[in-house]
Amino acid sequence: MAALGLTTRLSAMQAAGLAPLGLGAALAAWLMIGGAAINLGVAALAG
Amino acid sequence: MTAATRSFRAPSATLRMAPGLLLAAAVATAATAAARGAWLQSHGLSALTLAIAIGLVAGNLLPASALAASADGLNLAKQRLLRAGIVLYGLRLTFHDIAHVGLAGVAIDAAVLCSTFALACTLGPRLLGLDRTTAILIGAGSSICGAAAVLATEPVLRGRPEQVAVAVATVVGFGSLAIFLYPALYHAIAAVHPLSQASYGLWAGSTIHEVAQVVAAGHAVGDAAADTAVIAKMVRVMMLAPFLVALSAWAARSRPARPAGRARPSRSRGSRSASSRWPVCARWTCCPTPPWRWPTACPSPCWRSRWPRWG
Repeated sequence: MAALGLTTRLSAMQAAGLAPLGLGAALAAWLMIGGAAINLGVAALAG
Repeated sequence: MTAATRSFRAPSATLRMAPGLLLAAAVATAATAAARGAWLQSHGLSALTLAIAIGLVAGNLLPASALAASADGLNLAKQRLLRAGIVLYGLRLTFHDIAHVGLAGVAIDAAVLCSTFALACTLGPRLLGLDRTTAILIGAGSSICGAAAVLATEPVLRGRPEQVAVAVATVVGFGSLAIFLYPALYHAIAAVHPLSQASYGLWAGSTIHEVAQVVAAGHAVGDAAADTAVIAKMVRVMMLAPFLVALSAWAARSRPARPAGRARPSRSRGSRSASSRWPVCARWTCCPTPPWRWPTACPSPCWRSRWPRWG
């Protein structure tokens, strides 16, 4: 992990732009809300 | 990096590895020591996250000559040693632990994992114009176990360091937000509707990104919540192995689906968004160059040489 950080250029990370953040945000929102729905659904099914 | 790969050679190979291995070990030791701090632990920052963060800072501040001297050792550390670590990471859960969350917990984990990863694969490339490798890495990190899942998925896709770093940063960032959001939501919900600590733990464990973040979010509510959360999380971590097998099979099957020659020429849009909306083929996944520049800028053996294990 340390080696990975040491060989990563910040400029290359910046080139990725905001799209990764957008995806991360969408997935985090799904995990929280959709994940809660899955939890409730499975709990209801399992009784 | 390719130069570094080529220079794996005896007899002075050990000597050439030494500077990079020592540098990585120094950063890893600093990260491990820092991760023991109470403040960092309460914020769910694991040694893994700290190691990549310290490495990023050091790697971008150190002079180029120092990094060139340590390239061989760093290459060994970030490939073989890192993968060995990931394998050991997945071997920590016992069946007794799984029985604690029951079949319902396993079903919840599987449903969360599949739905989140499927969402990443469709939303990332199609709506956000992300390249598929980054989308899959972020999907794996979000749906399984954060930075460790990103790192375990990277060899299957042969991602570039910056794609891995972007995915790790994204996953760790939103997972860290969850440490504060989940307990706040628990207290808000518990005020109007009874919610057991075990239910909260299952929710947190099945949906928060990193193990350390799950521990932090669980402890913020109570010990019972933390116990269930950690086990639900570890069941999710255990799903990493079948996930990687499925992903490898998918990658092997999709590889010959679109030969590089069938790639369409670009329209005159911004280079990143236009190019990444393209149907992704194996070559695109590994080649950093936009498709319309492949004939000159991307070395022709690139895609062939990077997929040997599926041949």
